[in-house]
Amino acid sequence: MTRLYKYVLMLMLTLLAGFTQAAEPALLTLFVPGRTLDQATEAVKLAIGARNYTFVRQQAIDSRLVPQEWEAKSVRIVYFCNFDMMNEALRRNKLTTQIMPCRITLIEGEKGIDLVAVNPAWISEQWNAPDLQSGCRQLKQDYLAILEEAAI
Amino acid sequence: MKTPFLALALMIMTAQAAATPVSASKAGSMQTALDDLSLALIDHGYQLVKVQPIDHALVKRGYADPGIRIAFVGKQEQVQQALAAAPALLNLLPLRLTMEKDADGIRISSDDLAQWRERMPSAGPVLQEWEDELVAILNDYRGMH
Repeated sequence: MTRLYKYVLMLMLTLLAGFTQAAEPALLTLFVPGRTLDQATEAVKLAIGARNYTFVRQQAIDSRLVPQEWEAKSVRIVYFCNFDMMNEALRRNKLTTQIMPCRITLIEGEKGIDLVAVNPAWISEQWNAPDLQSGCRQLKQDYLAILEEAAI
Repeated sequence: MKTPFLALALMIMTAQAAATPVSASKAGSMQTALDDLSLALIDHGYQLVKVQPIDHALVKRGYADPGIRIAFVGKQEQVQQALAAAPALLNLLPLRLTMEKDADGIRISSDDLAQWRERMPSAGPVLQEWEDELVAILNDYRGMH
């Protein structure tokens, strides 16, 4: 009977762990009041560098889909990466390309800027690859740190 | 006695819910694949926005060649579609296709839009439309000689 209880307990803990992961938000967001899009972009780029990531490029959300003068002025994407991490992630599993390169979307509103990133810990829940989970959770923490730092 | 079996059943259901991204592969080089993909995109009203040469970027820095490039693709109206359905979808645009070199050629796969559909049911029709278009594009890519 004791074995049965242990078995049930183990299953429940596993299930609980699964539910905990399922509770990951899809998006990581932070509102930065009183900034322009250009100011927020510069702050994000500085925060990226401070966290040992490399800025790759920035673009309007509809860049190259419309003539440059028609591009959306209120939604901008900043791409960045850490090449060591990228190399290690690809060496482990090519599914990780789904979270490459890193990206923050900046959306300008009337009172400030929304900084938004897709949560890599949420994306990785679908992979059935437990060995990638801790790396994705670490990447999520890096995103949160970059967002926080950009908001200062 | 029912609890363990119920828990096990739930775990199996959760595992089965994991979706597979859309993909297509065929023989050829990365450049040929890019050319064919560009043609397939145009046929479906899409444009190639940018290619991120992860292979070159890593090799240039002394790492092994992973044989990976990311193609960003899209259509002008997708931004408006996203804003109307769920602004969170802006984070998916431009859409991404992973190009991976393997022993048989180049495999192109999309991100997992099913995961987004499950999380944002109200945006389901738009996401399904995008996925259907990506399926059609990749089918064309696969069929080109």
